[in-house]
Amino acid sequence: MLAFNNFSKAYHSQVILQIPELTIPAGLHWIKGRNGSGKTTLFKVLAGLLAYKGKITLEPDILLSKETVLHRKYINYGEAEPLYPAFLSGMDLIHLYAQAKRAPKSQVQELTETFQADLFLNKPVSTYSSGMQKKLSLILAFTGKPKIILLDEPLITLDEQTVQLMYKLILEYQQHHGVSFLISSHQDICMPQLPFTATWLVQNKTLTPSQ
Amino acid sequence: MSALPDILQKVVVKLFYRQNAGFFLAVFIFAFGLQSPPSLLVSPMFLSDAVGSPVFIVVDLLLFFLYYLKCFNFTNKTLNAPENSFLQVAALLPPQLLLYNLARVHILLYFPALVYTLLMVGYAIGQMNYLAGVLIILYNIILTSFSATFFYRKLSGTKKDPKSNFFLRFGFIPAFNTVYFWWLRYLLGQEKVMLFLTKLFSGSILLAFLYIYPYPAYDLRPALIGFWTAVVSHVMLIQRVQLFQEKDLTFLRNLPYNYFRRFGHQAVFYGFCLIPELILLLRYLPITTTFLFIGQLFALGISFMLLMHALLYRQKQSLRNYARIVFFIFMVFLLFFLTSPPLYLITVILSVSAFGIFSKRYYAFEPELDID
Repeated sequence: MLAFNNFSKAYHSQVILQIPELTIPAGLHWIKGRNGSGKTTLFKVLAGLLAYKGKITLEPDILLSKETVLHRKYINYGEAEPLYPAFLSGMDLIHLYAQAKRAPKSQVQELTETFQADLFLNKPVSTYSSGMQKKLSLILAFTGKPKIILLDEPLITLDEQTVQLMYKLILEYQQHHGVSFLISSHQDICMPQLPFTATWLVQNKTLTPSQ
Repeated sequence: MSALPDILQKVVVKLFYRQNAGFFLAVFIFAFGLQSPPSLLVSPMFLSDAVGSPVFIVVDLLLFFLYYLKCFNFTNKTLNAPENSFLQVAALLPPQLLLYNLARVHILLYFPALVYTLLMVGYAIGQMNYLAGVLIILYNIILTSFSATFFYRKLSGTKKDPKSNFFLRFGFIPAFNTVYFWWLRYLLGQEKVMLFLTKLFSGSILLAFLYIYPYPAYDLRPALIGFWTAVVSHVMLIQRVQLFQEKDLTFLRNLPYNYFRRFGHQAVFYGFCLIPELILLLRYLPITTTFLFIGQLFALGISFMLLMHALLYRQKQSLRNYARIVFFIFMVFLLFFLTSPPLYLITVILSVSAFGIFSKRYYAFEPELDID
């Protein structure tokens, strides 16, 4: 699914991540790592938010650095701590994403209903709690027809009921739509409801399969 | 020793000067670039005459009051920002220490205006015009005291509900909900004073050129130079728009838009921004004979703003360097315009350069690294 080749990411010439050669197959993947290990940087790179060196290919042959539009069409991203301009409403953002990612109307409606977000989405983001912002970011992450959805720390700030809904949605998207997931969390959080294809560890400035 | 001055310096003062490099460049050009001799506004002859004129003193203090509003608004906004809510702890410090530090912040922000007004005081005293001197000193004391007291009360009290801002609810106009106008809503909601001052400055410059050198008594070059100067004065606004885009709208990078579309969003917004200047041109130039010229000016303005926006995507660029580039482009084209060049050609050159830089730099740019 995702192939890394001579990949490296640095800030101010300080290397954060280096992946010489690695392929992540399709499926449901758990990316584990301690605070500051580089999980969010990896996700931001894969989401197209940060520049990098080397090659990342979305199989079969989409080179992410060259195919900038396809890259963003096929990889969706739900941020760990989403922040949106205070004056926008959740609906403004959903409309933009639905239009840009060519999502059918029914999908948006289903997602807002699933996350029980219709009550607050027409209000400005400035009135949202962190849980509401997280729900909004999850709705945006599931919008469209992606091949991969990156969920950075999806469990934080969500209540138990929403977490269960999210698990259900992940399984549905994976089993019925063939979407792969990369889900990050700290090492001490378990997600027993999700049948992970593989677990990966971000440590020592690289990404390796967990034993 | 208190840590408060250091923190206020980093949180408010440094940020103010970093974010307003474009503004100071525009003021510098206006104050020293368009005068003959360049040092006219600070020359002893000018100041000696000026402090004897009540009209000049009032106009001068009004202009500085606009700058004061800018400083005040910036401090207010910065202290209201969620990431600075830790500053509420400063209310536990002795009141005189907090008041002193807040007054210090005001003085550091207001410093350029303060220096000029003190220069005026010096000349007023030299000419034994004590009343003018005392009034200017009182003016500065009142502004400083008001700022210090206001922000002291702000840090000691509880924060206002952000919903009380009218512009946060500006989305009731459907067109303003589209991404093309998010920048405008941001400016109207969070950068009102900067937007107002920029448009006031830009409009005044353009109006002055159109009024002093009316067409057809003069040819169209003064209108061109006035419009060019007005557009260049938007450089700080462009900086703020780009910062907003790369700080608060980072999620836009995850949307499957090609470069043309992203570039188009900016073009629409900057075109919208220049509508007041367009109205002034239409009002003061005979539309039947200058329609094509006005259209070309409008396109030229948008292409310049797009280029300035694209230049902000150069990695590791200091704002000082950016200001130099803006000044260079401004001066080169100012001289070039005196030769009545074909405007459509300059528009094409600026637009193509802007698109080239933007498409080459956009995805390589990382805002986190763009810190002085």
